Amino acid sequence: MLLAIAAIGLAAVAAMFSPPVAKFWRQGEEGTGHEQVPAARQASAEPTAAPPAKSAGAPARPGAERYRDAAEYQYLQAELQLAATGKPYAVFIWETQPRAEVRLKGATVAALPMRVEGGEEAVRRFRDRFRGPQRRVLRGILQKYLYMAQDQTPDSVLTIVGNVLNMDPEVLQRHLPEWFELKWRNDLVLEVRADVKGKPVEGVDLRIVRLQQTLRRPFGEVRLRVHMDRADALTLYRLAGPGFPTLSRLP
Amino acid sequence: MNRRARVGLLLVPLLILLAVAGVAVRLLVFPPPPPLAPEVISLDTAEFPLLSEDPRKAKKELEQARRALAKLIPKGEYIVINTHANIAQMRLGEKVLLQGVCSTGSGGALTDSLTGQKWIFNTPHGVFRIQNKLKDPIWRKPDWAFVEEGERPPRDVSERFDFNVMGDYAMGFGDGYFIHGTIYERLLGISVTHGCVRLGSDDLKKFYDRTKPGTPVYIF
Repeated sequence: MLLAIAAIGLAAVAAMFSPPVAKFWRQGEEGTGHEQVPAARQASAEPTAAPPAKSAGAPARPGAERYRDAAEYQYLQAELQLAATGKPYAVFIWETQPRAEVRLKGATVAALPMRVEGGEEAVRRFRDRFRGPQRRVLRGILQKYLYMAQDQTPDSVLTIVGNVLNMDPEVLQRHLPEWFELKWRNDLVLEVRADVKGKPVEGVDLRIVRLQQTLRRPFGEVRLRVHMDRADALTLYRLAGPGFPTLSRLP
Repeated sequence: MNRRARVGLLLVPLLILLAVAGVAVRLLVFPPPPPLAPEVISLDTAEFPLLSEDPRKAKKELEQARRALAKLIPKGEYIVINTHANIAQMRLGEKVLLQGVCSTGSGGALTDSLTGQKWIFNTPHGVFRIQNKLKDPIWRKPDWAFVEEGERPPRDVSERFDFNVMGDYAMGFGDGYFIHGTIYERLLGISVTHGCVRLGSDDLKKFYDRTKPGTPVYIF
């Protein structure tokens, strides 16, 4: 009897680690992406992988150019729609000076430079996973996790200010992030580090976080680690909640 | 008990332990995902118009889209208020012409216990325009300024004026919101205001000098 229970348990664990269940568990609409990254790379090099056209008729333009134009058009349409919402959105730009630009109604309202770890290869993997097999230019952030942060203003100061202003000091506090992550649906993670001396936020065990990061990698997670200035990291952290729209500009 | 039974007895707890450990590691590495927000789904599945197959049409459509996006970018200088990091900037496209630390709305709430009226002290987000520029501004205190002090708002308007709190200049961007100075410069960088944007006196003068009525103000 016990042997049977143990065998069922083992089978269940094995099933949980199997790709289809893991995919369901992680809500990855596009799986782990292991098998898709080469496809996306291939697409960017292979003009025939262009999105389907609106209508047939006149002869198509040379493939590579046609593919680039179609991709740019998708990007422009996505940004135009986001601009029309009147809410901020972020555009990741990877060429020359990697940065996240926060835009509002099409105007750049903040440029947040990033120093990327891992060089061009890491950026390419991030960009490819962002696009995925559907070659998306737009994705919403699924979750953000704050691991280490520093209080912006000493509590003692805020207590005095709070008394003067009749306000709860906790409302006035800002947490400068030292280490946080933005996660997208398709096992894509942007890990942000800032030049702040923080401490682990309440309820976070950094040993478990590091263990999770190490163990997730073989299961197809793509992670890009970037370093940012503290004010820029604070801006990105506070803006980028679940559902925050992000665009990845085409190379 | 024969040898086989003893091995079996040892093996069973070992397997159970292994199974429990496996489940624990699985939950630790891949905890159950959070519920998907509808916005995430709609963004991740959004479809956009496709480029026409006809080369001439395609070229025209692409140009139109490029122009439409370029049109949205302000041609002249514009003010940006970053309420997250409490930074004010004067920008011209990619260039930052001026930058200063500011204070923005605290997000706090106040309720008048007598009337039940409620105020939330947020700086409004969106795109606005500078509507007026004032030198030596005088603050006409609204009701909440009295309620906050535990006083009743006066009926006599002359009792509402405060001459010394807004600094040397103020720039209104609508609905009673201003970019102005402060006597609490040490609090710059902290979100402590009732919705207005406060700047230090040096920065305020620079912003005031470069601003014209109509200058766009982007607040996020």
